[in-house]
Amino acid sequence: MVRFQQCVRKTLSFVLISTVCHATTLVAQQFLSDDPIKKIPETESAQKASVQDINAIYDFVYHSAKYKTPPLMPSLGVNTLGEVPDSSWYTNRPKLSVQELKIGARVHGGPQPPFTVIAAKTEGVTPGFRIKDGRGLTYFIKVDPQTNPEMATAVDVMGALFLYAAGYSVSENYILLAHRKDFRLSEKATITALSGKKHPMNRGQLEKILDAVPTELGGKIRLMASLSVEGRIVGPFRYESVRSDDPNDLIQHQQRRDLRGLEVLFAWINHTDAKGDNSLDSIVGNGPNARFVHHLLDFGDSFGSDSDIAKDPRHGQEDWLPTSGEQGRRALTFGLVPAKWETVKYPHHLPAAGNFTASGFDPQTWKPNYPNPAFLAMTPIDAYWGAKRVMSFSDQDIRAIVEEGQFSNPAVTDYLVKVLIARRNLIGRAWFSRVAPLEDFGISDGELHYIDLGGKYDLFPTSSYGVSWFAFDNQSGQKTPAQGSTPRVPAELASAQVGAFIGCTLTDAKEKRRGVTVIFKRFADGWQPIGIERTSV
Amino acid sequence: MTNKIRTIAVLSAITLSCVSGFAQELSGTAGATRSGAIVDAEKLKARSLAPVAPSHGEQEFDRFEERIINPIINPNGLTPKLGGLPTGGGFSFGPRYVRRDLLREHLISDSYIVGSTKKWYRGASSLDFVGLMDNHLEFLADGAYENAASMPYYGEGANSLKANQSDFRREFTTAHLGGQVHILHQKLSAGYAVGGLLANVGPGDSDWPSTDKLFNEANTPGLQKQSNFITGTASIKADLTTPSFTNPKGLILEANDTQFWDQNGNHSNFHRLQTQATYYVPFINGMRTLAFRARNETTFHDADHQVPFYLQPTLGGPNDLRGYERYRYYGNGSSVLSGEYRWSVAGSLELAIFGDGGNVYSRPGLIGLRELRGDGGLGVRFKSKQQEIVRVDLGVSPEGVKIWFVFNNAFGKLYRSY
Repeated sequence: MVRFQQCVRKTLSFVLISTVCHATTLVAQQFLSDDPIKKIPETESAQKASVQDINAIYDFVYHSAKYKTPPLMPSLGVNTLGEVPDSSWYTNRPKLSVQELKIGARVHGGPQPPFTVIAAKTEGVTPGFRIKDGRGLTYFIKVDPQTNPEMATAVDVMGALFLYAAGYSVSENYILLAHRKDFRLSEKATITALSGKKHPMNRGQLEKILDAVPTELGGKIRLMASLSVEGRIVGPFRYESVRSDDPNDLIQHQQRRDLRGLEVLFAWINHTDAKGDNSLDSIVGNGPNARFVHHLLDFGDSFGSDSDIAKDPRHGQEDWLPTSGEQGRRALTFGLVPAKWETVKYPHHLPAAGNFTASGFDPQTWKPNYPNPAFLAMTPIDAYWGAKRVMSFSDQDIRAIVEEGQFSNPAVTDYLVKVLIARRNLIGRAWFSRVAPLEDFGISDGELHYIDLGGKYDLFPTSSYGVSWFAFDNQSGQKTPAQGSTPRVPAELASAQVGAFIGCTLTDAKEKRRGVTVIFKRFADGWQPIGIERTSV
Repeated sequence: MTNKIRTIAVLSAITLSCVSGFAQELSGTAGATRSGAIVDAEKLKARSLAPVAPSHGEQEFDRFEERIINPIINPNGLTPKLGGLPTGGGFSFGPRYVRRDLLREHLISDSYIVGSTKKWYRGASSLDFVGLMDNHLEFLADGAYENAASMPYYGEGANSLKANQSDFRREFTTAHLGGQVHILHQKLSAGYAVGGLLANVGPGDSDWPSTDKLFNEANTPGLQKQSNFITGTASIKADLTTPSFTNPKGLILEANDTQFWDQNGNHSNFHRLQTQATYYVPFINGMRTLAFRARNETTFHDADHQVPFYLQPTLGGPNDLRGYERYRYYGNGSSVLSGEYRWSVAGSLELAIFGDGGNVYSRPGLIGLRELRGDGGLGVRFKSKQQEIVRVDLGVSPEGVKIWFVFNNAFGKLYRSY
């Protein structure tokens, strides 16, 4: 019966979309008075939201089976400029200073002693436990593997800082250097056994976990402390569908540009464990002010780390289950012809860096451990949006964040910075070549201005673009061509009244499929871009 | 219902209106601004919120996992047990009662009875005190009854003929009490166990001739008169591997020595030494592996004593000579050397080309390459990280082609059937 209702709902939805689409085309104006919107007005209370769980095995199997790229569909959740407005998912942060980059989301500071251990887990990839610090704040503690000291703790901190700077909500992750004696056991502390049952925890069990910590600096041990996120926890989000209990969640997640474009950021930092379970929603505020905040969590499987071991070279290259022709060929040829990524050289002399390189990294074929529906649906224009976020990190920005990994060997910091710069540039070259990477459109002194990001970031020579102008009727959507094929606004358009719309289309002289159409609206103080539409290769 | 339709209509339209580029206003259903239209949609959805729930398929899987998968992977309480019989026993199934939550999870109690389609049975019960002294000490007490209804037997020695296949019923009733220490970060384990073995042999249950029809006490010691034994087993294992990706890297050394004291005066006092070395050499960033395993089992007895055939080392089957039948060769000693070239196809799938060579012999001095039996083949392994969950090995030898479908590592740890 539930399935039947779902079918009816889907069918009804399709019919209604078609109807609304047709009806509105006839009567509607193209741009509304508040376009392009900067912020999604999330006005309804999410007080009633309950906890959601994701079955990890089902999620793996279900999405692994749906590994094929779906037909390209434009993204939703963007404004008329193609940008993602601020929302509970994403925040357009202004360019952060070096100091702000280093701080990121970390406003509470690391744990303050004494540390009272309240719970520990024995399951999971890495051992860990939970503490309350001297201020009563709860932190989740994780440790490094013996084989790669500093690796897993550092990547969790760096990953959160990069994603925060890019605009996402993340947990506050800190490197914690502490003495063993600073940890005391709560009388109510519990440990979760392999059976899933909780038992009272004793000091010996805590010592055993701490024994697994490989690095001691001047009698101190190194841990990663992640502050419990603010608000009422309601479980992870899914990379597809919408939450039925969040009134402000209107757009299918796999169609959100901020989730699709996230693949490019994850590819950059090699965060391959890109599953819903590594996210967390919380409800902040009460009553009518209760709102979702969507967090990205657990970056232990990013950069060169797989949490308990250095990164499996396969990660980022292939799905965990065999799905590609390349894997079939490898099977049939006895593995005698290794793929390029299999033979890359890793910095084994720098165990804290794990297996992280730019060699063998192809931004356009990078994959998470298993298919992510939002990433599969990513279009070149979504990727361009993500690549812009990646390219916005300067060399100095990258170094500032990597330094927060607090590596004892400066060579590790230098190495990671070098690799991240190289991967960043590979991303820029890959995705900026799929579209016309033109930004910051404006008209001043009667002439069109823009910035070619390919040239700005010195990725490739600045392309030349053909320009065609038109008048734009916002009621009908009709474009009336105007004379002129140079950046100068044609005289017949330049004299338009306040409230009028004009537009221009720029087409790459060499690759006609790379184009961008910009609509300007006349305001009292001049022309402002109000709509951007891109085409891609 | 009207509200739902209205919600769907507005949500759909809002979705469209948010498409990058030249958006459409929602005439009639929304305000005159983009924000207004979104607010309207939020208000509508707020009127028809539903509790968040997984998909129908995920809900079904949740139930399946809770009822079927978890009891098998992490059993606690009364659960079904799959397997548990020696190789060759066929598909087995039965009830199991296991408790892992006793003494703050320091005591594992496990009891089960399984039977197979080949009419093999096994009932076993064990108490395992684990994690003592910060995981450095372990005690085990167990008892079992096993009825292997049709053990193949071809005669002793490497020259036994396949045409002489017979079978016998082997009944073992065992009890052990032992302890193990684990030191050097669990890299080195050593232990000792004392026990008892009541052995009985009778006619087999298959269509093959019964062993006692083709062989006699002279060439098959223990065929007519079986003994009961007191046993003492010393064991040591050094795991010198480090983590890699598809396989470990490095060396694993194991040795077991079991002394059998005959309690029936049948001149069957002996001891049996099992040694095994397994060496893994990953290359190409761990995506390929050369794996080697050398195993030797030798029995030692005084001149006037003998080793009963049902306690002799054997070769043949999915764990050693994979191109031969199970238990194809019996002897007072056996050696086998296996090598595999493994290539990882996916995280969950590894393929292998393998070769095995081995022989059985009547006394230790005859260890050598004489009468070597060899095979080769191809293996498919379904893995979870380094653990082989299921493997399908196809072995080819002069005696034919064998296909094995087994749930263990190709180069697993030493196995004791007594």
